[in-house]
Amino acid sequence: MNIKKSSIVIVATAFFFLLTGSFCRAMPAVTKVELPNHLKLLIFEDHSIPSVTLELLIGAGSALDPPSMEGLANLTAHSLSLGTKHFTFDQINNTLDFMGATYGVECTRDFVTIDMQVLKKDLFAGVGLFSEIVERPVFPNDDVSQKKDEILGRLQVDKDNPLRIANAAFDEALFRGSPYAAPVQGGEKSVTAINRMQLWAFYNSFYRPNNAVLVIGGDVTPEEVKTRIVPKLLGWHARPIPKLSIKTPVARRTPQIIIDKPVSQATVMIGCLATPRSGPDYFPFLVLNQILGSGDLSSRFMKEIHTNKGVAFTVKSRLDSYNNSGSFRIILHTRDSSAIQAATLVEKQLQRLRVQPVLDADLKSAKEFLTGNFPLKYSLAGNFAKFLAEAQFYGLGLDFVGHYPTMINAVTPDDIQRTALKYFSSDNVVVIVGDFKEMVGKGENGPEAPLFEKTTPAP
Amino acid sequence: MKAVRIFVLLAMLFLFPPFSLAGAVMFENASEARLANGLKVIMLENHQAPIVSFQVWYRVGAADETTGKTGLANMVERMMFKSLGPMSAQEFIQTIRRMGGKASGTASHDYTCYCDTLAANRIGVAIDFEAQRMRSLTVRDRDFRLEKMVVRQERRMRIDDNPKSYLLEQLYAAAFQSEPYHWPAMGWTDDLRRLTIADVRAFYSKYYHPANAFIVVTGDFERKELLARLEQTFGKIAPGEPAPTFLIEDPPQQGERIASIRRPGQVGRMVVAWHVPNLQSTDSYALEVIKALLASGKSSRFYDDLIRQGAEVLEISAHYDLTSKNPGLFSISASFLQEKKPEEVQKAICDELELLKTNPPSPMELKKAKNQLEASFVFKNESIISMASKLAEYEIAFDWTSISAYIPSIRSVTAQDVSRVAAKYFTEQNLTVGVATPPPPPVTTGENP
Repeated sequence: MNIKKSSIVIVATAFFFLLTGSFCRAMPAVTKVELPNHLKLLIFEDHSIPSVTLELLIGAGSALDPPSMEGLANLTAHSLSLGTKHFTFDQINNTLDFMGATYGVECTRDFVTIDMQVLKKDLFAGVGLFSEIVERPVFPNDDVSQKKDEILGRLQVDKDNPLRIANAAFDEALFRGSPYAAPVQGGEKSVTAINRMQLWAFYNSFYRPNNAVLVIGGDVTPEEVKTRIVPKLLGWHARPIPKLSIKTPVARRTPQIIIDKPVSQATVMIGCLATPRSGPDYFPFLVLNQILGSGDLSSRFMKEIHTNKGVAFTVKSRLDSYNNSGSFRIILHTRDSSAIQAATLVEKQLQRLRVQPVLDADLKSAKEFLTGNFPLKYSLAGNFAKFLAEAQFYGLGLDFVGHYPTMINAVTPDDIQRTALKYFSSDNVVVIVGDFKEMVGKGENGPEAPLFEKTTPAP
Repeated sequence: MKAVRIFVLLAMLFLFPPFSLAGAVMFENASEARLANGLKVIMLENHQAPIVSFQVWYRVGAADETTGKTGLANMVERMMFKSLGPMSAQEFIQTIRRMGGKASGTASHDYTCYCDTLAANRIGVAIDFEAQRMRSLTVRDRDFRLEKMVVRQERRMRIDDNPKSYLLEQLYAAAFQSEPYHWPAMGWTDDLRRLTIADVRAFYSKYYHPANAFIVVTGDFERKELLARLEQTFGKIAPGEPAPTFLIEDPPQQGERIASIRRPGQVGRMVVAWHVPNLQSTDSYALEVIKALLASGKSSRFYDDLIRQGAEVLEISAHYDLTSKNPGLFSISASFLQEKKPEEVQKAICDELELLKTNPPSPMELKKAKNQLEASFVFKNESIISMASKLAEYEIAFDWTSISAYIPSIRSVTAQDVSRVAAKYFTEQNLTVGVATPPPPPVTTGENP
């Protein structure tokens, strides 16, 4: 096959974003290419600094972990660079470090991202190594064992972190019975049990170009990508991807948990199931999240719980949307003795949204921030590349960036209330990590502590 | 065959360095001007996107506090976001947010800064508000009391309940005795209780004026137009007197100091630190190179020897800030499994430092460290916000123009410099060690209850 010719034919679309407002010039144009092996390639130019970002997204997240093999997707992703067909661990890392390149891997519930930032002068060497890591890993036994030890060590370190403890307990309670329930990195037992053959099987099933999106952005031109980078990507062969049905969590009576830990400040987490990423409720939920808990002093939670009641010093909310479901959580930090009272105040605010439409001024402010901040948020090439890859993965379309302000601005007070009615109930998951005796002894106006299921962190 | 190719690739990268000094030219168009009242303005135009970062830096921080009133610089910075006036701080934040921008403040030991990033055509909003902030501070007692409570809670969460931060706080308190880096920028718990609104107002009056501040602007602006606007606003503020500065120096350390902490935890933690100079000494560049040699990337000495080969530690990192205003610390932080003995971990770390003294890096290893530092310099200054902050940090430490010396100075470091600087500073006499380990399990009698 004549690679150059075929690539020229495949270049499909090039467009300019149509954001309105002062930032309109800030978003670069994007070119989309689909290679013969069905790898989707997105390219954008940003010549402000002499560096290039590569962001590869593969549909191989932890939701695909088989039962009792939690952590397999994460371990596979982090083991790619342990050695390849042609290069050892030392050769790979010496080369990366000699270029001063950054190489990062992140495993999420739905996908894995592998990113590299490299100086322009080293781009083609960097791409060569990047494709070698992705296409030809060998998962050396000793190195995989060591990687497992690293992950197990990190799990141990996380046990000292109240926020991580709360997040893990919250997800486990909220997504019970679904693959989203387990921590992405797995647990001590499951990680210990994973073997090299299982990595191989997972890799062979999901690490395919037809299951991936590659974004290349920065100090590079589409012509350079076409002539010098695309040829390095064509040796990666497509194969059918197994279709696994991922069990969608369903709302049910959910637990309230206190995890007893001797800390002076309690971490309180309250929340519920939320919309999938490509669901119709996504934009109303996004605006709702902004109004409730964007984190600054003007958000409803901060006004009511921090400024008016002085109960918590920080209250934020977070929306995480995945392929099949999502979660919404409010996170606050307060004195142990105020934890239960704070949880009650949060619940009241959630219920208020169900019965009272949001004020027009609050809605307007949230929309202005979300639309206005969008280009600034993605002004760094790496952030923009990540955003493009995710938009492609979730099937939001290449024109998503152009549509984004329209979708945000279309949200009405009724949409917000409908969303609150649909998702918020009195059965929220509540997790508190704090000193149990302080909470129970001194809480004011809060529910009786026995309502909570008390646990202690695993040793 | 591939292995040969990768060797050739490395050799080519080594023998033929890039023609462009990628990092060195990033700040070459920066310039400065002074308003009529003497206020310095540092500018760097970048028209890539229609945004600006407008930052006002005050030459005051926790290092200017006094015993018994620590945490005051941070408290003043926090109260700036509660201020009233022609435009209240809350109105300003709302306005910036409606435009999609962001406004933030930070107080460290060495400085306090206010950083606004917004659409270029709305820069006037930030200029007007920051000039108001420099002119006067109006705060309510109720807001002060609430904020004080918030800061105390935040301190408990970020430091008291965080094993790593708590250990670092104790380490600094041991390494510095009379110098102000002895106390945390957030202040000691008891001192926070003692702060009053009168303290806030007095601190503000003493330090917040043009003679003790400078402005940094990066992004999409036009110099002449900007300076005219600044002259109309900041230029009308009385210059004030430069705040008195005292250089308080500890006498040279006479031997190893240890901060030992017993607290519940799943892993052991250690910080090993030595007193070192800042960028006012050329040794600072060799220290940067040493930081990269030891801990940058998975081919670094620490990763290879202490994690991959030795399994001595779970994680390890090296920290050094050459732009601290006064000489600071070169520190190494590690966590380790409880079954490891802390003294063995310390020995493994110190052995690596000793090796630098006797076994200089090879030309290839040295070049690799320099490449990492140069690439990191480029990557970290990708945004106009970080470019402005970097210029300001150099201005605080010495002079913003010295930023242009960074890449050439890194390139000039030799293997002999590495050994010499390691021998000079990484001595037992100059060492402070912080160790946090869980308390021993209670003694049992061996009988079932």
